Formats: sequence, C-alpha cells, structure tokens
Amino acid sequence: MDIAIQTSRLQLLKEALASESKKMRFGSEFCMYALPSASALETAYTSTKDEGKDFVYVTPRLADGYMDKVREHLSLLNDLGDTTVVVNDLGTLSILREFSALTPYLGRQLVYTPSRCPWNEITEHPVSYFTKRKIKKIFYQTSLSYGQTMDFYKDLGVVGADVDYIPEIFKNLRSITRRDLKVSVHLHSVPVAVTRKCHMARFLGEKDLDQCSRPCYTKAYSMKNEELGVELYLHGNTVYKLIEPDKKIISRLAKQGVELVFTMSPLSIVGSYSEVDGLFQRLQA
Amino acid sequence: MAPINSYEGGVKVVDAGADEVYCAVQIPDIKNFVLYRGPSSQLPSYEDLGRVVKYAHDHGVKVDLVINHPYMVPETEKHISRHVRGCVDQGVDALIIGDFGILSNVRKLKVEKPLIASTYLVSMNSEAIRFLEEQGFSRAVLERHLSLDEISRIVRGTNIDIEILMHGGGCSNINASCYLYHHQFTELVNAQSASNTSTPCALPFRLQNLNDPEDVTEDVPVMDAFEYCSMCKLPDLIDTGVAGFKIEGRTGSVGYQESTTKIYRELLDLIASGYMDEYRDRLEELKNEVYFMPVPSDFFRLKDIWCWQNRCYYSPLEQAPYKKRLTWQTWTKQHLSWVNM
Repeated sequence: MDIAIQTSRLQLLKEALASESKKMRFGSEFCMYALPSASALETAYTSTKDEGKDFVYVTPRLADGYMDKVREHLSLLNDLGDTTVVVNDLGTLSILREFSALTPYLGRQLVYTPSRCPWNEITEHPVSYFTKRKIKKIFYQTSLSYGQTMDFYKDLGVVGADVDYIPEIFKNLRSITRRDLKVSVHLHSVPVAVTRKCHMARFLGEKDLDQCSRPCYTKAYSMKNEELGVELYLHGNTVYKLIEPDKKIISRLAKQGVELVFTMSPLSIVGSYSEVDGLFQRLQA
Repeated sequence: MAPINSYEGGVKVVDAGADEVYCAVQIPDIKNFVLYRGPSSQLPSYEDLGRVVKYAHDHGVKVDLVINHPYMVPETEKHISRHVRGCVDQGVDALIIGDFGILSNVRKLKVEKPLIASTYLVSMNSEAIRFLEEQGFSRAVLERHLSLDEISRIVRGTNIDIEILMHGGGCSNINASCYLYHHQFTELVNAQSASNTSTPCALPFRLQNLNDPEDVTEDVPVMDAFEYCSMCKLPDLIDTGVAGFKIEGRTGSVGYQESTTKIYRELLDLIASGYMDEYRDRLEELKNEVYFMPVPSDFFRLKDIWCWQNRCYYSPLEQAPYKKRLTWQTWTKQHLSWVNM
C-alpha cells in the first residue's frame, strides 16, 4: 500500500521522513500566504532525497505576486531534478510547461467534486425514486469522470490527480485509471469550502495575511451549529468535513493501485513519526 | 452586465441601461439536478430566451448564456450538447463556460460564438488568463478575492477582456471551491431562520479548539466574509481598465435586477461625463435611500445593511467586523447612541 505524507512545515517533514512512508509531499495546498521559502523548499527536497524517498511539491491557488514566488520555486526544483508538482491553479499548470524536469499532478481544487457538500440532500425538492437515482449518479462523480476533460489535462502533461476520501465516488475512479492517470486519495479531511479571506486568521485577529503569524500551524477548530446538525472543521482558510477511513474500502483502493495521502496537521492531530507509523499499521491491519 | 431570470427582467434591465444581460436556461432533461442555484435563477424555456434575445438585440444589448454546470459527466453530455445547440439557435451572443469538459464539447459542436471564462475557472493571476486565452476564451470573469492592484496587473498583462463582479453575492469562499450548496432542506432552513441569515456561509457556529477543549467561542459567523457593494469604489474600478462590471443576482427579484442596473448605469454615466461632485452627492443619497435587496429584509437602507458592516467589494476583509444580526435593538443602538440599551 502506497501512502504519501503531506505537510507544509519542515519540522513535520523531518518526523515524516523518519516514518515508513516512501513519499513526501511538501508545500501549501490551500494557502498562498503559507508558501515555503526557496531555502525551506530546497532543504525539504534534499533531505527527502537523502533518505532515498520521493519528493512531491504541493502548490495552492495563487494571485500574481505569489505566482512570481512559485515560478522561482519551480525553477529551483527543475534544476534539482525530476519532481512531481501538485497544481491547484491553472496559471501554475500553464507555466509548468516551461520546466522539462517537472511533472504536473492535478490538485483537489482542480477536480470538481459535488459530493464534498456536507449535506446529504442532493435535490432541492422531493423527486421520484428514479429521478433521485439519476441525480445521484451525476452527483457522485467528479469532473474527471468525463473522458474529454481527462484528455484535456493529459495533453498538458498531467499524469495523475488528487481526489478525496468519499466512498461514493470510488466506483468512478476506474474511468480515471483506465486512461492511464494515477489517482491519489486524501484520507480523513474533505475540503468543503476554501477562501482567500482566511476565516481562521480573521477569527484570531490577524490584520495582514502577508504578515500572518500562521496560527494554522498549531490550531484547528470544530464548527458546530445545532440546528444544522452537521459538524465541520476549520483549519486555516479551509473548512473541512471529516470522514473516517473504512478498512475494507482502503483495502479495495490499495488493490486498485491507488495511492493514499495523509496530511500531518493540527486537524489530523498526527505530529510525530511514531503516530504516522501507527496510522500505517492500522491501515495495513 | 445585468442578471436576469425572466423575460420581464430582461425587458426591465435593458430599459434600465444594461449593456449586456446574462442568463441561464433550464436544461429540460436534468432540471432537477441543482447545485447552487435552482430553477428560480434560470429562464424556463428556449422560447423565453428567444424573446429576451430579440428584445435585447432590438435595443443594441448583447445576451450572454451561462452554461451553469461546473463539471460534465458522461450522463450529462447529451443533454448539455442539446442545450447549447438550443440556446445558440435562439441567437445568444456569447457563452459563459466554467469547465474544460464543457469547453471541449462546445468546440466539438463547432459553435462560432465568443467564449467567456466563468468564475468557476478561478482566474486569479495573469498566467491563468494567458492560459484561458490560449484555450480560445475572449473574455474572463475574475475571481472575487482579488485586490484592485491585482486586477490592474492582470488587465495590463492580457489582450482579452476582463470582467469583474461588483455587486451582490460577494461569496465568502472561492466560488469553485465552495460546496455549501444552498439547497433549502429542513435543517438548513431552520438554522438560517434561527440566525436570521440567508446563506450557509453566514451561519453562526460554536468553535472549539481541537487541542484545547476549554477554548470555546459561541455563536461565531466565522465564514461570513460576504461582500456586497462597489458603488463607492467605481472610480477605482474604472481605473483598473476592466472591460465589464457584473451585477450578481440571477435569483433576485425583477425589482432588484432593474433597480441595481439603473443605479450603476446612473453612477457610471456621471463618472464618464466627469461629474464627480454629482457622483459623490448621488452616492450619499443612495446610501440613505430605500434599496431593493435580492433577499427581503426589514431594513432597507444600504448604509444600515452594508456600509456599517464595511461590506465593500475589493476591500481587505480580514479587518471587517463579523456581521451583526440586524434587529431593532442593534439599529437603535447604532443610530441613537444616547439610548441606553
């Protein structure tokens, strides 16, 4: 079973490197303000390679000023050697074509997935059984279920895509792998809403996101509204729902050759290599 | 650019001075498949679209069609293809597209119409715009979460037209990454009515720190970074060089669509004619006037609802206070500071 560990902090990367995982994903998936420095990126790359492990750089959506920084990062990685880059922004996907050693991998924000919605209601009004069944079939797919969309991305050099741990969509993953695209499933947290106007920073009184003190490095919150009856989670600029992985489903995914991704963060409350290995053992049991 | 969801709305916004109108039409075979916006945001039939197009064209106004699906799957291909063909046959002037599967499909249909990149494609930087231009788009609608400087830089760096949203529906979250669908199911309706809110992102939540269970804050509308209005920012927005200003509100009433279009037309004309003092005077009047809202409210003055809350598009919102519930008590406290509540 292939499990990649994802983190945005060097300190956590060091822990992840000590674990059994053979692939490290480093970078900020959702927040452009939390991009690593070029030196942190280089350290992450070299320390991962020194351990004989694979390195993947994860990038978020970007405004122009931050795109300049990411371009610098891509140039650095291109000089260092072959690297996969997870892209969540069309601009990044576009400029990756300039770097021959870098391979694009679609991030979750470029894969539209309606079932990230936290409510179970999928129709506005009551409908017949057959209509509901038809709607369900459409609802529990992703934008990658459509061949022409996959071909579009493949023509841009994309080799795979990140999706969420939403069991209802898994039967459609074969349509992706059949087209020779790899699939990585993010365990545990499903992004329900992403903002640039960071909800957590605003709540904690941060005044300028460029100078953000990164409370998301240490904090995450549960969000409850009694009438709504749904529990959500806030970490940084992203609101999540959590889905506990099921062993049978994990085993089925492993048989399909799907890679699993686990993110170390205050939300997953996994911060050390022993906890990562504990997770591995639980999943492999 | 004005939103419409009916022929009547089309007539009213054209008469109110819109340069373009944009609308969607219900897709007959999958009309029960609704994500964000239900049938109330769409024209009911191709016949209605044809009538809107005729009226708009007779008055020199263009009609853009929103193909309002953020993704395509094999089960919807046939329906969406038929739909695009049906709308194009009615004479629409451009197609607003938010998914590369739909784009591929439109290309396959050999539709010879200008293509507009929807906010679903999340254009936030110059590289993304260049990429969209390569894909055949002649105009792009920028994501809302950009600063004026960022908008200017994008406009300077591209040959295609850039359009921005400026009024109504200033989503707290990035449009294409928000899955808080507005389905009016019982629990959501109850939660919204208990907190006097109209969107899921405005709901109050009980926040509990996962690392410190004692750290609890009750009743925080933590996702509510909603923006509403750009009237004061119009001169700055014009300076960015954007080609189009878009009013949000396809689910709004005809009254809202018409009045908003009329107000922005008036303000833009004053600025274009160089009457800046008159523009500023009118602005102050408008803030105190009765104002149509997309959602009914007990409080109608723009100033009370949005200015007080600092809900301006393209402002740094991290500094804005959370929206307070507007009740007669808060209104009185705000306006009559001598009242000891």
